[in-house]
Amino acid sequence: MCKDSSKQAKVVCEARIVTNVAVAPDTFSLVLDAAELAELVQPGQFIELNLHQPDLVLPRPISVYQTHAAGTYDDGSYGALLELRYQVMGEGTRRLSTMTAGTTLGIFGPLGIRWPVPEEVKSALLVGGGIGSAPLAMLAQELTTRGCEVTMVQGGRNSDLLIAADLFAVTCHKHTLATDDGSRGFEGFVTDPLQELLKDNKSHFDVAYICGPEPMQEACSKLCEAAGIVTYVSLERMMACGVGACLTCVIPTTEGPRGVCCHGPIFNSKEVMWDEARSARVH
Amino acid sequence: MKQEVPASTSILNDTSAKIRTATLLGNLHLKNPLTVASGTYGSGLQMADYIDLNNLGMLTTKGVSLTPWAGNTGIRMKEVSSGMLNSIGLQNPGVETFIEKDLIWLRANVPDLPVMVNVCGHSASDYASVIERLEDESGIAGYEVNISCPNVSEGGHVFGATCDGAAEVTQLCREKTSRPMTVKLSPNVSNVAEIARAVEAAGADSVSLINTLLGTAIDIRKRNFIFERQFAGLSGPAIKPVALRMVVEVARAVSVPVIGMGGVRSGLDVAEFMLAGASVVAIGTASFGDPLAVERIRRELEEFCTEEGVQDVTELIGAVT
Repeated sequence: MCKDSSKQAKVVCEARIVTNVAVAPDTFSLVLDAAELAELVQPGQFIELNLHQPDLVLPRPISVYQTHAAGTYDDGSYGALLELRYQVMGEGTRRLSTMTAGTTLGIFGPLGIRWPVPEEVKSALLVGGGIGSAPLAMLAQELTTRGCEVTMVQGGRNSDLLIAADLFAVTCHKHTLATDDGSRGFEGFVTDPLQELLKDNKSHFDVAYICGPEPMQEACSKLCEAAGIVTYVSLERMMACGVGACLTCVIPTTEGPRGVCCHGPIFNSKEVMWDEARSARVH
Repeated sequence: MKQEVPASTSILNDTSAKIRTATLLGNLHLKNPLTVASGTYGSGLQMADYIDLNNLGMLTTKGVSLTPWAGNTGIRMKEVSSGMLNSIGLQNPGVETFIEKDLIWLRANVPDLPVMVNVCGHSASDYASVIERLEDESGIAGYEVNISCPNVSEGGHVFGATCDGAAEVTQLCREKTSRPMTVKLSPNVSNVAEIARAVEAAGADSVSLINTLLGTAIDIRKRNFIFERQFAGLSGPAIKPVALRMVVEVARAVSVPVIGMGGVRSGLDVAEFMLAGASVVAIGTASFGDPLAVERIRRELEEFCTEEGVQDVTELIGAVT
């Protein structure tokens, strides 16, 4: 699997935690001193974190939220930094959330493919749900820098869980919010404002990028496809090696079985066989 | 990328360079006693961006079948305390693709690394046909016949569970090849030594063990099994004591060499398996959390030998008293 993987250089190293702080309920920002990896990572890629817990044998795959240029921070000077946003989902992320600055984690990557960007992209649509907004942040910044008009539809269970909404508000040309409880933006799922936005595709989106809970990705990608937009989604599966060796995270696609770790995590939504993939959903 | 090596370690490396790490697996000469457990390392090339595969004494590939196998549907893995359950189902693209992509890559990139191809089948003749096809190809040091995968309905464990079944597959494969052939045994039997003797008598040049231990996990809120096949294979440090006991039993029962594995995560674990009777030791689950595990474990084994005054690692084989 993944025999023709990119020629991107890979890094395995120990990385010191610079900060690890709550930014929303059960949601943390983890900043790592990992210059070599930070300089390689592309929007949409992830890394594996070895938490050095003897009873947890597997690393945790987490997408990169942002990189930060070298500089001086709270307790000293650093090279480029890597920032992840993660939600406490199980025992591993629970323990990670209690780790403090100075603790060392094993990391390797960058893993997976990046969000594909068409060369002549003029207008892009981003749809993020919950913690799934995090892997869209670097992409939004890159697209804006390239002069592309970026529209973001962002959803969360409530206003606290609109992850990195401040960043998207600044980065994107248009930023629409939706919350399940109506505490901010539209009341309801992102599909409602998305449908509104896609009417006649007045914005002429060249491409759509979706990340969030899988039912939300499925629903949103079908809306975007119906509007004739090339759509990419970022999927999640239980994962072990992260490099295409163990075949744990394989999903059925129209191209055959594909590893979320190495063919993905990003897929053209038309290739994903949503019904067949449902039984192995993480959540 | 290179790990930084502290000055003290380089001094140690100079000392350990004097230790003889070469070992024999039957008539196969390996430069050290380390290999990887089938299915945890792909065909090697997936790991090659991270680690120099020449750290291994031998590479063991993912299982290869005659035709492509899609593997299992549903959730394929769950982490448990000190281990993991998997239900992959031997997904692989079949022997032709293996030759075209993986074997060619291995020949070109690691020509000096002995490659043990793990072979699986739905029927006894399937196994033999895979070997027959591979016999035409260079760059193969030998075969590991997998009669112990717990995650497939036909083949796999069906053969490894009885002496007759194990001997039948072994003998059919033996007829097809004079290359070194090991048979991978299941721990999910009441008497592993008997099965080992049966495959030895049928022509195996060595035996490897253990495959994963059959286990399960239940979603207590939905009241259903996590895995579609209900049961799955347990690996990781949780199984090490069981694996060690079985290696001792098998090493005492047969005269062919033993490849030991099950929860190895350090050089000290390797020494323990060798003392139990293993000539070669495989690293499996440990590579998932750290792609450099093999390199670290090799270093740790050499350090252990230095500390203990062991000049030649083969001194350790079966030396438990």
